[in-house]
Amino acid sequence: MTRVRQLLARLRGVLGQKQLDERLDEEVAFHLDKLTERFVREGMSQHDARAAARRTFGRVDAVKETYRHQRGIPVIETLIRDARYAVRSLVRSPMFTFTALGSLTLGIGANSAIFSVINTALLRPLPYPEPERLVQVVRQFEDWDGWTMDRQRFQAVQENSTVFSSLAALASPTGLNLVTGNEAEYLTALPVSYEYFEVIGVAPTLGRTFLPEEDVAGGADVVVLSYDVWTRVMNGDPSVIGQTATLSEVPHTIVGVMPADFQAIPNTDLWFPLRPATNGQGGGYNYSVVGRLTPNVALPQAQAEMEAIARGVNEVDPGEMSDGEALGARSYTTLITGNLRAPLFILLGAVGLVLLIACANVANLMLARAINREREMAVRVALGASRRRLIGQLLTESVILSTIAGVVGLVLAGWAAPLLLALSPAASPWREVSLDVTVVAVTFGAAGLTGVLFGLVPAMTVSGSALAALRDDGTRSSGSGRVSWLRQILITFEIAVAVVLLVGATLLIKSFVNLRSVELGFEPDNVLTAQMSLTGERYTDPTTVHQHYSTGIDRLERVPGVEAAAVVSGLPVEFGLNLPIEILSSPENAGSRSRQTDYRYVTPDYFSVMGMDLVSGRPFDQRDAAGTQPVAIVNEEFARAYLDAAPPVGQRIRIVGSWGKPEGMEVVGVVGNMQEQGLGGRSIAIVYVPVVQAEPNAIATTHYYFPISWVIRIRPTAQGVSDQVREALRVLDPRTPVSRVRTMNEIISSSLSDQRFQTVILSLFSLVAVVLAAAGIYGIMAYTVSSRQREFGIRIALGATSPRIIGSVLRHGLMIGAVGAVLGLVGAFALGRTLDAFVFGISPTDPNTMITVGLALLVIAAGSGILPAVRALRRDPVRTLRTE
Amino acid sequence: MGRTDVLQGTLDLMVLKTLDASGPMHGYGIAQHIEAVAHNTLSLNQGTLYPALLRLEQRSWIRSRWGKSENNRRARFYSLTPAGRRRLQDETENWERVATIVQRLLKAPSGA
Repeated sequence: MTRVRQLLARLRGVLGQKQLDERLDEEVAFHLDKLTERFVREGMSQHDARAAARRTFGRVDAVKETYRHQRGIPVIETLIRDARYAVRSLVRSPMFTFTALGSLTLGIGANSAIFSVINTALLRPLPYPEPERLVQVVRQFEDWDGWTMDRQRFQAVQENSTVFSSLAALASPTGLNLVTGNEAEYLTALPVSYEYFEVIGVAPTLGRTFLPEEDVAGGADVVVLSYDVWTRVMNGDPSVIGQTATLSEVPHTIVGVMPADFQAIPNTDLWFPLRPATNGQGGGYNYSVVGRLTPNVALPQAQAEMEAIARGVNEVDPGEMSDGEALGARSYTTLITGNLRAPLFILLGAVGLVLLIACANVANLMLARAINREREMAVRVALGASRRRLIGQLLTESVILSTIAGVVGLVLAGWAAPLLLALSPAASPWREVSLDVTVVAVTFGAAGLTGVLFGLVPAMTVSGSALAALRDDGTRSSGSGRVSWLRQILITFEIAVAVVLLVGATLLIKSFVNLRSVELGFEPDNVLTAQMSLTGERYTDPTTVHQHYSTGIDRLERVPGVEAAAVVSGLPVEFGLNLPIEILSSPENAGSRSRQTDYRYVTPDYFSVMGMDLVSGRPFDQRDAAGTQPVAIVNEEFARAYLDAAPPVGQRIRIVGSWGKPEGMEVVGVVGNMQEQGLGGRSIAIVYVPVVQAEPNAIATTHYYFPISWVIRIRPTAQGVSDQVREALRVLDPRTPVSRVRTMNEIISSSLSDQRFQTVILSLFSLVAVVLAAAGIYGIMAYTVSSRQREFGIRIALGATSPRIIGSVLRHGLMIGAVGAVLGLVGAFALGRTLDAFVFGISPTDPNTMITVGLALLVIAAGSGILPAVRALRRDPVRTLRTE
Repeated sequence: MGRTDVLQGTLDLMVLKTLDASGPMHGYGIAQHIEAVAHNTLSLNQGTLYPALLRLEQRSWIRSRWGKSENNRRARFYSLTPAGRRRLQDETENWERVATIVQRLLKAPSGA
């Protein structure tokens, strides 16, 4: 307590210096006057009395000095002195300073860049009010979650749940054509049930959102616009509320405009009512169900209720749920940021390791430097500096280094973080990264900690041996046992950390290569795609649609460079309409409704354009027309899951409800699985139907919820086909704009953006780490070898050969390398688990990777001693011995 | 010389004791009191009193305020705090213990 009080008093002293000065002046004056008075009373002359008073008092300035020193905080003054001294000594050795600063800046900068992305993307909540109350309801299986639900499940939750203050369903975003004058524009549209805006808790800035009666089949056609569309297309005219906009041929009444700062997830131009149905779209797993929890209801409560609802559904209607299916509640924030969370934390771990390597490097540099300054330290000890003072001074130096690195690192991070986010997948609703107080605080926290980390050990070691050095002649102290041990530990540690990072990076690179070379089930090279929205009455009749496509395909095939073209209602790797299906040829299965399949209609040439081979049966052809036997082609997953009793070709299947032909379809062919929902994902069952035989209802529903895609195979050498394709499709129907023309490979690439992000970033950091570690290892080896020069000299003088000496250096490097590599491999093995979800087609503890990386580091460690050794041996041993 | 230098630390004790014995007092008064008690056998630069007073005040053993001296001049008066009184007691006991030990040691018959 006393100490605290004293410190506070001293702090006040620092602040109230002038006041204390004046007080002392007055007290001294009073004291001197009283003394003088006394001496005069005792009979001295005024002059003598004054002099005597001064003598008795002592030297006034000395008193004031002591007083001042005591008044303030000597620690702070010492600190300032140390800092000044440290800066001077850092400036005196620019090589050391630059190397250390470079290492640290890289380490700290990388950390604060990754942290700022984490800070933006993970720690900041969703841009909606009380985002912690937002929950997504999922189909929950033992080891995976189904994100989408059908109408039955949505309804069961709607009717039986008590934990939500509001609950909404939304479909995946689709496209709509907004026609204004002669211009048509393709806009992204999100079908949402009317409660959606209440769930996310954002009110429109203008007008209203949907009414319950608009969100049912046959309800009025209404639309809510994004602020961007309102200002860009409607010129921000407030009178648009109540006016009609023609969206894909259908007049829609504009009822509302969302606020400017509303960030839609996913990015959306306009919203229209979902109109949940039990059939068609609503019959399959096409809805995401999002709810807002009633205040004070926690997630586990919601989870328990969802499980209870699932049990209830199973009791009432045992055929409804699939085997092992339950319902679950997931935090919406976690879902949205989920695919960023784990990779970002892995990255943070990785940059943390990079920083550790940087620390080890700088610690080594400090050690080497401190040893060179041992004499200086020793002299200071001899002059009365305490060990604490020496440590304090060395620590000041390291903290100054790390603080400068922190400042520069922060600048680097500010520049790099937006690049990182740009590389990261688009799922995140946060488009900008800001360096806020948290990031700055964390950066300087890390910098300070780093400074102490790499400064403390060398400081303690050196200050401890300083006195010993003074006893010696001070020139051979660099070999002192403790320091050299410390150096071995640091280098071993660096090798171990580098091994961990390299193993991680190698695994991810191999996974990425595996993913890229995954059997796609089709030939993506030289395929262009163009999407458009056919929502509306004009394109629901199968014959009309078929005719339209035929004309379009004709035009496209006339474009120079185009080999063949086809249409599909949903591209591979993207979502398609999901519908329930029954197997007519397998009577015991006919009644089950839990069979779901993705439904895609195609033009006959689709499979050949995509380069897909039929596993069995035949492709669609001219035989399959409007009046002939309805046919279907299924994929291998469909056949495996639903048609395993007999050969698939010849079996009969039927889409449940008015979306399929009552008489069902005959399976005429089987195609291989394509990677339908992202590469490396699970295969899903798909049924393909020739568009000319599709039910009008199925076509309308598909068009309502999904854009259709033209797929165009072009000659490898073809140039500038995109523009001509675009033009051909524009001429085909000027009112139906094309969204964008992309190559199939671009689409596949963008589906790999998550993996690419992880791979690129982690590889980058591993590279940095390996370079840092290699530099560090080389530095230490060179230093160790040069400090053994005297020993080499003696050995050569005694008849040892150069190869023998190099051999001993090599052995030393190998030993350290082996220990480090083994430690690193143990670490990598232990951490393999965390990479489990990110590796593909390779075990996270892949022995080949481990051994290769371990050996590589071993070679670096062993090899880095050779060059310095050779250089040392080239020196004349006699001279070496003399100088020592 | 016959005059004793003041040991570091003992000055604190003297100041505390003086304030305890005679109540609030200004620096000059404290110095005169110590000198009078020591009968001129103490070599004290009276100025060194002031850093000591500041130190004691920072530790909250004494406090100070402006007051009027005998001839109505403004002077800083120091007085003992309860914490200071406790400290004085502790220090006194400690001093006596040490003094006793040293005395015993010095009086012990010398030998090998």
